[in-house]
Amino acid sequence: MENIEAELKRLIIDIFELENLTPGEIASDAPLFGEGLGLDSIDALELGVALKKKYNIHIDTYSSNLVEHFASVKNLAGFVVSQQEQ
Amino acid sequence: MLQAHDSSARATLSFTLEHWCLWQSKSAPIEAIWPNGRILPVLAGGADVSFLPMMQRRRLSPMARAACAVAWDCRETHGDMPAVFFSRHGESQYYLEILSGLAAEAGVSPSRFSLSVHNAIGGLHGLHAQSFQPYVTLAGGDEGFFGPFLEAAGLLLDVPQVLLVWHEQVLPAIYRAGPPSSRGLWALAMVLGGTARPGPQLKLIREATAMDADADSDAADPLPAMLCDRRSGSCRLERATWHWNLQHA
Repeated sequence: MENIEAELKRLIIDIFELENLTPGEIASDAPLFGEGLGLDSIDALELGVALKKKYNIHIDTYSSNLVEHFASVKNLAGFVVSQQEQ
Repeated sequence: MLQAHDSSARATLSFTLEHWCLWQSKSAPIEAIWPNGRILPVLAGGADVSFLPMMQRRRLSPMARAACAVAWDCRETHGDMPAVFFSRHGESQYYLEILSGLAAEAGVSPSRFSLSVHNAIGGLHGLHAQSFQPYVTLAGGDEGFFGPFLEAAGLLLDVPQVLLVWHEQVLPAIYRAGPPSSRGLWALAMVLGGTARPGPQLKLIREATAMDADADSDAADPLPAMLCDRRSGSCRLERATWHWNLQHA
């Protein structure tokens, strides 16, 4: 799980061009959207596309749990692992 | 100010050039420039947009950085006002990337798509500047870069000042057999006011049927005249010839 979290932090920095930010500066349980890292709704779409591409997972955009899955790196890692196991 | 001399043949646009600001990727020694303007420095990373928070900077392409930098300079000195953005081809590298991806049956990046639309740069600048004024973005057309001046003249019927922002970049190689491409990356912003305001007077005269043999053949680039302080010229376009002059005491 820690490996996936590290991969996700690097992925977030790369796709969102977060200059001057290192993976170590993104707390696994910090909010990704709003007051946390400050990502927005376009970023959420971009992150979904990147996750599908990198991990070949299915993301059900109608899922009521989607906001929770995308809330933090830790939640995202758990979501990716659960989808890979299916 | 817009003055039609005849229903089809001749019209004059008159402005006060209250301020201008330029950023261009190619720095060169410049001895004399148009009055009331400044040229922003060329830095290694492109135009300096350090006045923006990192989360706002991150989405800006090199051309968007240049456009936001010059527009910001004008708003800092003259405040908020309606704006006309203009680019002949816009974020060409983004829509080429999207089209190439679709041709390869790959997914489309949502953020790239949102930034590829022609009014994205104007919209981002409006958000950054917390502007509540209207803006419009024009693409290339029959009137070349005189088109945004027509739009500005219309806006000046209702407001005292209009911000005009122009941004261009070199087209990707795949497009170069088609329309003329800019020779470099640059952005230019002007604060235009009505003729009653103090400052250099910029006059543009459109002649619908003129075929002036002495007119410039290069209508795509205003910078050479501005950067050598040439005060008059003509540009022959497909449907008209535009004559311009700048008068300053």
